[in-house]
Amino acid sequence: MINNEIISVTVKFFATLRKFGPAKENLIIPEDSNIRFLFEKYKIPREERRTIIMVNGRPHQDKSTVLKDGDIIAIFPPIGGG
Amino acid sequence: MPKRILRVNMSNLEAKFEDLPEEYKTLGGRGMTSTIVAKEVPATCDPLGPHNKLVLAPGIVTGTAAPSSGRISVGGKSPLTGTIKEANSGTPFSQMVARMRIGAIIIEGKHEGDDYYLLKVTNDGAEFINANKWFGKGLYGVYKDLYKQFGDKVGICGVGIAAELLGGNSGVCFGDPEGLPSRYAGRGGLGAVMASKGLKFIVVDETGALGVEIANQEIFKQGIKKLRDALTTHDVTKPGGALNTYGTAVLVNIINEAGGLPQRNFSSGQDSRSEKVSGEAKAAEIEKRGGQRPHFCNPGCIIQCSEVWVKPGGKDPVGVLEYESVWALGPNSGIYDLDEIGELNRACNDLGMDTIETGDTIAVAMEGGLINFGDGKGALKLMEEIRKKTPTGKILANGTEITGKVLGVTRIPTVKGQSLPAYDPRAIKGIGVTYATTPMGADHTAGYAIAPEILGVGGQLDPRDPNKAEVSRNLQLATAAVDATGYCLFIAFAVLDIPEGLEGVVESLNGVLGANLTVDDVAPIGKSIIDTELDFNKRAGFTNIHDRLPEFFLEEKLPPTDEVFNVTDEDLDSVF
Repeated sequence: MINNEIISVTVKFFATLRKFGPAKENLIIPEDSNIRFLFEKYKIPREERRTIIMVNGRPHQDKSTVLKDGDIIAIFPPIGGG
Repeated sequence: MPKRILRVNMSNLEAKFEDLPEEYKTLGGRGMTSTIVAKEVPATCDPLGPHNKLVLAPGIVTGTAAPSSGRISVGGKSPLTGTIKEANSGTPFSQMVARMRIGAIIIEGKHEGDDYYLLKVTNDGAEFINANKWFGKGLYGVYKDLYKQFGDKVGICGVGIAAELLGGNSGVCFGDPEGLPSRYAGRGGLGAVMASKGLKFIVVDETGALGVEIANQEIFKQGIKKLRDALTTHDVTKPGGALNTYGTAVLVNIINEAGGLPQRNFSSGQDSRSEKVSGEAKAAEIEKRGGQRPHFCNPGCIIQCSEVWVKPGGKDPVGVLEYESVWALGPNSGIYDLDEIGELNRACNDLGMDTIETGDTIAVAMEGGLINFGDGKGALKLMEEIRKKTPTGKILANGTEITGKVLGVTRIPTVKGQSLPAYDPRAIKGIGVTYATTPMGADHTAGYAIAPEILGVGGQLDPRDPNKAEVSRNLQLATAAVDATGYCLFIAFAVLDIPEGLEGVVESLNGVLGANLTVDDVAPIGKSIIDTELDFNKRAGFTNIHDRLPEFFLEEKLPPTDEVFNVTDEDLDSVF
């Protein structure tokens, strides 16, 4: 079944991932897209795919999380500090 | 030669080496300081009186080839919190003390009169040198003088103008490898304890030191190899990883995205301007200006999260701008300008002040109307009030709670008198449990629940789920043990995920001590340290009712998550 609906999301990449993706970009993507779709769109190399993914400020999302209209997706490499 | 204690009596200016008692032989770092403070300091004493003691102790493996292990613990009864206190720092000073086989330096008594002293420690003894000429002087200039006078191979520890004011905001300052006064055992006003005794500086010269005795070289070498492998492969700690590339301030963006980066005295958890002071922005600016990044706070560190921030054109190095410092002196004060933050951090280092307590103090001063939120230049003027020792400066030097009360501010972010670090406990609740229950007063390092709650290290927990008593407890026990080893707490990022790394840590301890510890002994070691600290606090008059966050965190919703701190009192009381 082909789904012709679209949604608008905001995607942000941080730290070392900014080599691959934008600091902030609004995207129109097909409805029912998941986070994996974003990794493929920006061609994030496989060795960089261990990431911290936040959707609307909620961490620990995985790549199969399905996106909704208006979502803000923030993608970080593994980081620490304190 | 076995390990020694250097006991320094400031009342009669006597310093002598003693044998390390048998029961202290396996102790180090926080284990050593808290054990000695609990045993020798009356819990009800005046923190700034003759009965308090200041104890400095390197960790168990400090001074060896173990990676990232140059920490020193400083302990005493805190004038800020009234509790037992341990604050620690990474510095070559610690490695030198350890190689001189000094397990602890105990500063006791109190010098009568107005003179200040410098204690010069060599392998064979110690002498007192009058330090009055450095009274009232900023530490950048003083440390330059001291390295010139004593040589660039010495280690230096000292206190500044805020400590002369006996301020609860004052830290104990250690030199970094280039001699900048930028490495602090900052929290809890321990600088004031040192100054109250008439001691301004400790200079150590390790000439002739025998080095750390290692009981079993084979096990030790095997252990540090495992740890080194873990640190160089884990994504957080490896060379070229985010911590090494951007420093600790790499957290600014992620905590802001989570809605937990406190803004304008904890009145919001997010502001898009925070990006301007992020680790990413700072690293780019350091590269452009010709500062240094990465950098280490002590030789032998693999992680190298440090840096040297400089003015435009590469001038006037400040030292590191840590995440907590950037936040406290930045977003929490409504300031989003790295140059203003850099100069405020320089002022903290120069005056001998804890950056977290200072930033929180500036923020409550802003809420109290002394200056406006976002007024970086006004904040720098407040720092000058401290330098000039004006009445306003004396209030500010005493920290967030006193400043807030004087100015009629009711939203004062403190626990047991110590101000909160850079994570709002409403949006990230496990760290709030740690703030409330650690024996130290609000301290993020005591049980860093951010690791599982946000960073996905050591598990993945929902930051907004209030059921965090267990994770906070487990982290607090593990942390107390790490704080005894001399290893940097940041090794935890690697060893929480890589079991061989933790084995390596334990084997390195066994190698030095000639012991047979297993990984199952780590939590009990931590528990015994925390039990010692809790017992001191109990004797000092602390009960469960002190293990609470200020009321506004329970009732005032935090934008944009609209969360409140909803961990129950029963849960808080179940931690210990």
